[in-house]
Amino acid sequence: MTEIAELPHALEPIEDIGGAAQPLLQVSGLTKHFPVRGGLFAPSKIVRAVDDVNFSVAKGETVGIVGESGCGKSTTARLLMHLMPRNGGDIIYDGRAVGRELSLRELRRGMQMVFQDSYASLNPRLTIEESIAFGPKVHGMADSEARALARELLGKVGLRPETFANRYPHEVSGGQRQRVNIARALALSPRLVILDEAVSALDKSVEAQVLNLLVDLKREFGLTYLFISHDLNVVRYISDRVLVMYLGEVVELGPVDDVWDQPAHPYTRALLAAMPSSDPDKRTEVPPISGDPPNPIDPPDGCRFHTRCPFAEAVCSKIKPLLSPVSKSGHQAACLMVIPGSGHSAAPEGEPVQ
Amino acid sequence: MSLTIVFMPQITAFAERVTTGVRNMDFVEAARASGAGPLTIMRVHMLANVLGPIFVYATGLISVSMILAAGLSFLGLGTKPPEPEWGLMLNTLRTAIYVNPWVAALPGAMIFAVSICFNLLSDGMRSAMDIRS
Ligand SMILES: Nc1ncnc2c1ncn2[C@@H]1O[C@H](COP(=O)(O)OP(=O)(O)OP(=O)(O)O)[C@@H](O)[C@H]1O
Ligand code: SF4
Ligand SMILES: [Mg+2]
Repeated sequence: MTEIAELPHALEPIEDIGGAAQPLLQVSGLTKHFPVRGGLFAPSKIVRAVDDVNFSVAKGETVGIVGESGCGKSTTARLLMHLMPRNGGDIIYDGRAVGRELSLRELRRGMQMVFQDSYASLNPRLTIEESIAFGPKVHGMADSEARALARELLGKVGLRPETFANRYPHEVSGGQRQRVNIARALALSPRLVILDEAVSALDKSVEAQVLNLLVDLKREFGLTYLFISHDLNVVRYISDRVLVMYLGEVVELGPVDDVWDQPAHPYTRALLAAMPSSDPDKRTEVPPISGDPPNPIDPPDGCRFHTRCPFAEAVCSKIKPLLSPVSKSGHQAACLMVIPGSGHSAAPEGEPVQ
Repeated sequence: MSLTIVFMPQITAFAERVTTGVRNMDFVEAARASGAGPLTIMRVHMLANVLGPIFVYATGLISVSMILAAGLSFLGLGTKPPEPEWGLMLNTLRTAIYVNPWVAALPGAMIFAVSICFNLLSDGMRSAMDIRS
């Protein structure tokens, strides 16, 4: 964890409190509802963007979050960064919640985020060096030191400081800009980095380069990643564990190989079945599943997936399945078919038939 | 200048629109994520991005209001005689057109030239502010 100190100008990372056994991030009951105004006489409605989400991230782990557009991935990321107020739930960073034990400033040292839009997330009027140096300066570093650190980090993300430090964001390519965003996030010596669709906007070949960079940086700096993407191939490549989200809820989670090889939730199966080939020429924008796109306004009762699920039975619209163990490896799914005695005809003691 | 008052609400509305636009940009959120306070964010990330477009907009309005003012006083609705105004001169010198057409055209040409100048200035500022060019 102290390896980042090998950069002569780096900030000291915030202290590792709980040791390796303490999860770096524990999230419970995380909920965000957006009120949306109805029509003139229509009542106002609520978008349940994130609804009672629970998970934890161990130190040194990469956890992937997948799901269709609008299922609440970015909202989850923003809530974790404390960039917007939440309606409920606890966010525990290394055993401490923001408040008396952990200041917001400290949390932001310990947790950083790379945004999807590499251009919009850099100030067009600051040079690359200034953008990277901004964070350390906020945390009290002198200007000259912060600029030196920015140049060291540029080197770490594979951009020659002499060439790039004084350029503006519009003067570099998309892949280079995303490298700058990564350097900016690393400038505060975080231990957790949230990557929200960090490679989604890039060309396939550039995407592979940036992914490899992320893997290298993780090893070098002892980082922990929360990797958000709708691209299942990318998530499988980089993640140790994965969460599958549907309409603001986690419907399946577990080690990435277990979830890929034996998906237990019908939604995960549909996502995997519709997975685009990793061959760039064959990539198409097929919607993962037929049926209505998810609408987190007024989500259906019971299992939220029952309107599109091929295995839906009457009981599915009445009982809300909670995450339940599928195997001993920590693989869990929220489907009545894996809950013994749930009333679904395919739910015996044993595992659901594939 | 009553026209200044007329255009004030337009400029403030424009300023508000630009400010909200910039405030919602990802880089402002990224600055919050690095732990910066609101004042630092205003100073480093918002001021330049907001003032630029407002200056351009305001210079653009100057040439519009000049022509409007000239038009008003030409019709006798603007400034009254002792105060000099090009529209007014244009009106008074209108009769001189039979004696010396060049003198009569002079105020008109000036209105034209100066408003073109402000337009060019506004265009120039727009491209100077746009770091992409
Ligand atoms: N500020 C907001 N006000 C109202 N609704 C919002 C707001 N932000 C997000 N939403 C809604 O919340 C839901 C989840 O949005 P979110 O951006 O988290 O989805 P996402 O999974 O990141 O999707 P994508 O893959 O398209 O980025 C969407 O239905 C969205 O319309
Ligand atoms: S609970 Fe029922 S509707 Fe929901 S995923 Fe399982 S089978 Fe399908
Ligand atoms: Mg998103």
